[in-house]
Amino acid sequence: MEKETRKRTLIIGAWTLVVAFCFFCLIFGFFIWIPTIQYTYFQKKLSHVDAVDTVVYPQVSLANLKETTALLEAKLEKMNPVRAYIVINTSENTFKLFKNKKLIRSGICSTGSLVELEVENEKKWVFETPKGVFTVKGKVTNPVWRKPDWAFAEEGLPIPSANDPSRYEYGVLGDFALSIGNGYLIHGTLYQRFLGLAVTHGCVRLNDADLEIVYETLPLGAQVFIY
Amino acid sequence: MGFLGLMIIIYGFYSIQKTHQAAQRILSTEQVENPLNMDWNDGDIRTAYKQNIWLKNQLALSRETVMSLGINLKDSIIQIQLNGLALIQSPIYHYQPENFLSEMPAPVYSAFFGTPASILHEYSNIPKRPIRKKKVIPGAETVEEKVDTISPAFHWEFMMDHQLKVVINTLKSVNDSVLEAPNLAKDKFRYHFIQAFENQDSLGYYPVLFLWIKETETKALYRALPEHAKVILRN
Repeated sequence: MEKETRKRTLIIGAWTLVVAFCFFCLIFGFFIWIPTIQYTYFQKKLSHVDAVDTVVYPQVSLANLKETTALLEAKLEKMNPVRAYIVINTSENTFKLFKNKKLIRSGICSTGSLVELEVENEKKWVFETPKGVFTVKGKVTNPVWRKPDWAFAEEGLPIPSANDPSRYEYGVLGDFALSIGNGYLIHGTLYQRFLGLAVTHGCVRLNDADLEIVYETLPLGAQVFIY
Repeated sequence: MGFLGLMIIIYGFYSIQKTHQAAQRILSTEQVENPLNMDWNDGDIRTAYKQNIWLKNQLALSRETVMSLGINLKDSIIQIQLNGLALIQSPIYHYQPENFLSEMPAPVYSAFFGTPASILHEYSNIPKRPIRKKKVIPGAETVEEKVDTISPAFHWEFMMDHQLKVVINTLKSVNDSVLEAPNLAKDKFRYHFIQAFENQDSLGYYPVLFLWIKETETKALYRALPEHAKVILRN
């Protein structure tokens, strides 16, 4: 009796395994094999295109194609900046400085924190470093920070008048600053330990050594690429 | 079991029919160029022609004022370009299917890849702009939104207007120089499984290109691109 029961259990167990295996194969087939078959069929279908007897085009040779390639490459090459430029990565908070199409400096920076500041349910500011291509519009040594309204709002302080002396802070932007327009600057920082993090109000912060090289390398009108 | 097998077979035939319709739709579109008078069987001519298309597309995109995406399967590079300059160039560690849509003659290649495509819709499990809200009430405590520090593996997929989909799976860094090994079959299975139950258009066919790229670089690519960005592809 015991032997019979054991035998039955073994058979049921084996059948369960077989059914489970078949079920697994079917499910796998449903989500892997059928898409693969579809793709293969699609590619085969597209590869059989009958030539259409219409206008006879001039023969295109490898030499023609290579000549066109060279022309196109030259055109693209001309579009690359000739003078120094900088590329800023706001996702990883890094920068790369190029001169004569060669990378001459790279390092970490700080960019916009992506914080949306809301004050008294009325005013809102978003601290984001803008993306795109900009140009260096101004260069300053020993820059003075003219604090915008959000700098007061963020601290819960009343916003002073436009020319109030409390608007001006000295020594917080480092030794140099480059303006890229709309109030955005590339400047230094007192908070060197936060470099590499997205903590700014939109400007790009560099450490002192990197900032000096960037300041000396980028002339007015140099391109600043930010992504 | 038999019933399930029958369902699979019927679904298989239906899938093939949808694929046939998709192929017919592409073959019936007006060709961008009709360069039939070249020896397409010559590998060098084919490579040179594809390179020309790639460069023409880059030049076309260089006139735009927004960033665009370039996927170069031949050199296994994915890049963001602006004003003709490649801002980021990241390696594509794996892609499938291998030789993606490589068996197509010149007119069909032109129709598919001859001009830049636009992203119709995209999906990702992280926001493009991860804005955090901060409220300041004078005299009261500042309230700032908490950031979830545990982030899931980044996943990004987008459909282009010439009915081609790109699914980007990411690879995390194990240490400075080593990336985790990808599980290609698992990633593809998960995609098709989710598509079958969530996507309303899952029964219409479009080719899908799977890419595996380093996670940090993919996030930079994703956040750099605007909505409905232009994409160029070279196989």
